[in-house]
Amino acid sequence: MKSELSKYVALDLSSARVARLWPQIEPRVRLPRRHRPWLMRGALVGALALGVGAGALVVRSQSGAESVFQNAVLETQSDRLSVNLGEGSNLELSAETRVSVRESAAHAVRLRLERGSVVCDVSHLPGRHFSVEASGVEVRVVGTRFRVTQAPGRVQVAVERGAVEVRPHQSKAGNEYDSLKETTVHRISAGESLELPALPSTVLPSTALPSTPNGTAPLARPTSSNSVVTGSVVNDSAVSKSAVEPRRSGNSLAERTPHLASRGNEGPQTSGSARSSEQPAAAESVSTSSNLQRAGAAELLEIANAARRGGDLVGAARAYEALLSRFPADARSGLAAFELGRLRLDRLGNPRGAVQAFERAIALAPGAGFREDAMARLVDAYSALGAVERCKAARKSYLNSYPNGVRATAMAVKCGSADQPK
Amino acid sequence: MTNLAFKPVSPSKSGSGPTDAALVIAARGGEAWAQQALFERYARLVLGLSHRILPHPADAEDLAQDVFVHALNRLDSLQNPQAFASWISSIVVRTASKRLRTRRLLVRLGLRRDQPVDLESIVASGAPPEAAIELRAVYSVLHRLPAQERVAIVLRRVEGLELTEVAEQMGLSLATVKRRLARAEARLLKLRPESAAPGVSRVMP
Repeated sequence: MKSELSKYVALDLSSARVARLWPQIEPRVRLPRRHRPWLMRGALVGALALGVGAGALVVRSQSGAESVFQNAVLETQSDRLSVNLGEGSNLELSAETRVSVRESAAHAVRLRLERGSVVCDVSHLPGRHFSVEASGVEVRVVGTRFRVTQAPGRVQVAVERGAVEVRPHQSKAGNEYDSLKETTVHRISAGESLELPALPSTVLPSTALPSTPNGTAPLARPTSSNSVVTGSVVNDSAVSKSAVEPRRSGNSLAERTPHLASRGNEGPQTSGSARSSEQPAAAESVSTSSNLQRAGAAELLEIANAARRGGDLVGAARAYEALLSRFPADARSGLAAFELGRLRLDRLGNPRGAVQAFERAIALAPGAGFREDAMARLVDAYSALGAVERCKAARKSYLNSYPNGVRATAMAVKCGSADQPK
Repeated sequence: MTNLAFKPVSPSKSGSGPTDAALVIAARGGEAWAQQALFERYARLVLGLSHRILPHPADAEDLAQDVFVHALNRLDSLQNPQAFASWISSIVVRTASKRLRTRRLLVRLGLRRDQPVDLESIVASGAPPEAAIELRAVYSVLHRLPAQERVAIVLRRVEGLELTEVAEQMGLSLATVKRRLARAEARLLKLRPESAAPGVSRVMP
């Protein structure tokens, strides 16, 4: 157990004492000399206010001016974030969300949703372009409130008010962004939602999005709320027939894809079925796709983390397994084994597999920060298996290594006669 | 440039308000409000850690100020903006180590007097007896330890960090930290037998 002595050291951390420090610090802090693209210049005016507790950020910019968030990244962890862009437009980032601001000016706002979920409440301004791009899918605002969610292998768009146009991009060979051609443009109205396959990350552009022409022809509406939309749209850019078959529904995302549904503003969450042996359909696109075979170790870890956040636990496990299988000597393999063990024990009901994973984690990363945790979880896994003698041996090993460890006290009641074989 | 409106951000680290990464990015861009927001959020962490390593109020405040100046002027060197907390903690540790080394040299040269800790003021009221005894034992001999051993002992015994965390904070290898701690524990035992770590009857590995 971590020492608690620090909390018994007498300290004066009063607001008065803290407040005395900043006036001594501020004059010695230099503003960066080199120009930052999102520093305001000339006659630009921006006002920024931070809301306490609610995580609100307000940006207001005048016509023609870049805002302070140009090229910025908005990211949340366990919290949510509300960002007011002025002119009545608002972004609500769910937890575990990352949005990069590609452009933020009076004439155009272009966002990229890199992970998680964002609700955009956008006022339509004549001549102002507002779009959100996620994994090769562009959602263009025409005055609406809508949600874009990155799920493993899919991008989901749901419109609550107004309408949006959705453009899935399809890459050509060579993976140059200029060669990405817009295919079918889908117009989704209030109450409708659309789910599209995401482009693999290897073909996504690394540069800023090019300008897109204003105005598109509306797509013919589906004849039923559950029909698969295929077809083409006629516009000036000679769009080819889409090879994408998105799923459109008039029902909420939560009803159609419970394993990937967002609940309110919480972002993608797993439903109760994630704990069962049922495999969500999205797992196949992560675990059996060529991505697992082509991805490097770092990408596999990213795939696993994204799958886990999206509730695709089997897909996450497969990504970890792929990393361990293909890159056993990689520096991340120990961590992958540890995370795999946790998934198997806590979520997938596989204590035997968890034992293998934790043992591997301990062997692969003897000096790692998670070693203590891995040794403790190994005891839990043996306990869950009902392997009393092995549990006791693992417990002894843990206590020898960490006599004052975080789990030392809890170990005392493990592996006892009260443990019933499963 | 028009002054930016600013509302103090809650100092809580619970996740409310903008993330550390957002504040670091804004501060890098020269946004004064973000610099102050980072200070507001981490002042207590920095001051508390500074005080536990250099348990004299004036020393701790000087250290805290210098740490923030250093950190805010060198945000570009922070590779992971979301790791601001651990990064600034390591700045506290390394800056304190340097100060202690300099101070010890001055003491040896007779240019500065040794400064024992006021043991009566080091323990918070309401501390359990066992904690009070251990704190007094550790702090009574800290001023007699070399700088790195002193910092390592505080991080290990008082802050309760794991060996790997101590190594990371101090910028040393795990092996070096183990040696420092072993020597520090041996000195503690020699100077104050009652300062032995609870439940451990042997020198640190």
